[in-house]
Amino acid sequence: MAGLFDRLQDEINSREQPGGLSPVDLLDMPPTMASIIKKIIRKNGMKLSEIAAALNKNPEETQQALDELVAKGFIRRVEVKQEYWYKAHFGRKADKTLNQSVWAALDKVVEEEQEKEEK
Amino acid sequence: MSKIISIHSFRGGTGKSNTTANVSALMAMEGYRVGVIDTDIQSPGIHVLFGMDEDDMKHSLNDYLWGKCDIEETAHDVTANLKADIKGELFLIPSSIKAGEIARVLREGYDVGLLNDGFHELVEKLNLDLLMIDTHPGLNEETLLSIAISDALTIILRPDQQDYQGTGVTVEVARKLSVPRMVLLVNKVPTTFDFAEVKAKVAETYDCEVAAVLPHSDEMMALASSGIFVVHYPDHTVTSELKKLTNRLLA
Repeated sequence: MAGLFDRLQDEINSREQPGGLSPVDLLDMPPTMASIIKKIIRKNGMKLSEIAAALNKNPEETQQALDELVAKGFIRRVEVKQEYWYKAHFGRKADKTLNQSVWAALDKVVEEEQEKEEK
Repeated sequence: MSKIISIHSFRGGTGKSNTTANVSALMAMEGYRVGVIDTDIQSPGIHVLFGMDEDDMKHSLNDYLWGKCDIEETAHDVTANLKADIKGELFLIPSSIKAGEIARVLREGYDVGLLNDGFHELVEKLNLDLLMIDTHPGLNEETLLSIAISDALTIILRPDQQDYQGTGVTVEVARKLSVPRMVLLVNKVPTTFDFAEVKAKVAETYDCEVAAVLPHSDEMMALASSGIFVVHYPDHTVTSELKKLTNRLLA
């Protein structure tokens, strides 16, 4: 369960950051910003040196761009084995807003399912 | 090197789950370790093709997204369910078919980052050569995420005006998300159509490779998702076309 604790801690840390990326955001983001984030998403995390190399930019310029993305809440910096990695910071998928009577009907179905399982 | 491949369509009923299941089976027959993940949380179904029902699901993707288990615990080895000569292995990560659990996801949402982590962890922990993502139709957060992380994307369409228009939107979105490789599959084509002409026209319209053109098949309809078509009908035209698609995705 060590993996589960790491994940929960990750989630707690990430909730302290503002915003959160939605995959939809990638569609109308400025191209350079989108390019960085897409690369990070595809690799599920990259180090500064890897991102700089992928963008063909120097580490200082890259760091500036990454700091901006962290401030906007689109990526986060995580420490892994004493090295810093950048990962996409996804927001929580929004829950659906439905009429109360629909939820009540679904609750009834859930209750019936649970009763069936208990038998 | 491992590949993540998404199978998608703008509209429902194009044959995504059947295509995903059959292509995955063909890859496993070739000796690959293949994972299939059902990200259609709202209307899961691919598990039926692999002969699973809710009682067979020890854990589902839903359990992982709610933090009840690690992602690899949701992987079910369905290699034997294919009842065919399989040199590789096939794992299914199903979504729950229980109404209550679907309702819970709808009501509470989930952490999209967790889904992203799950994709990558599956490849690593199961030592997969290929992870096939079966998606919900249309553009939504899950499909956009799948497209964003995929090494290759197959977009399925039928020769239908609604599909044509929707595919245009999907191709445009996929290009914006810089998916490295994209192919089209034209499915359920009436046998009276000129298949070469269909292929050429679709490729020209979207400026995109058409990997295969599948005829409408009564045998496929009659099988009705009760099994894997390529296992039941190894010599059928549909199977040859699915093999073409598989080879293009593996290339």
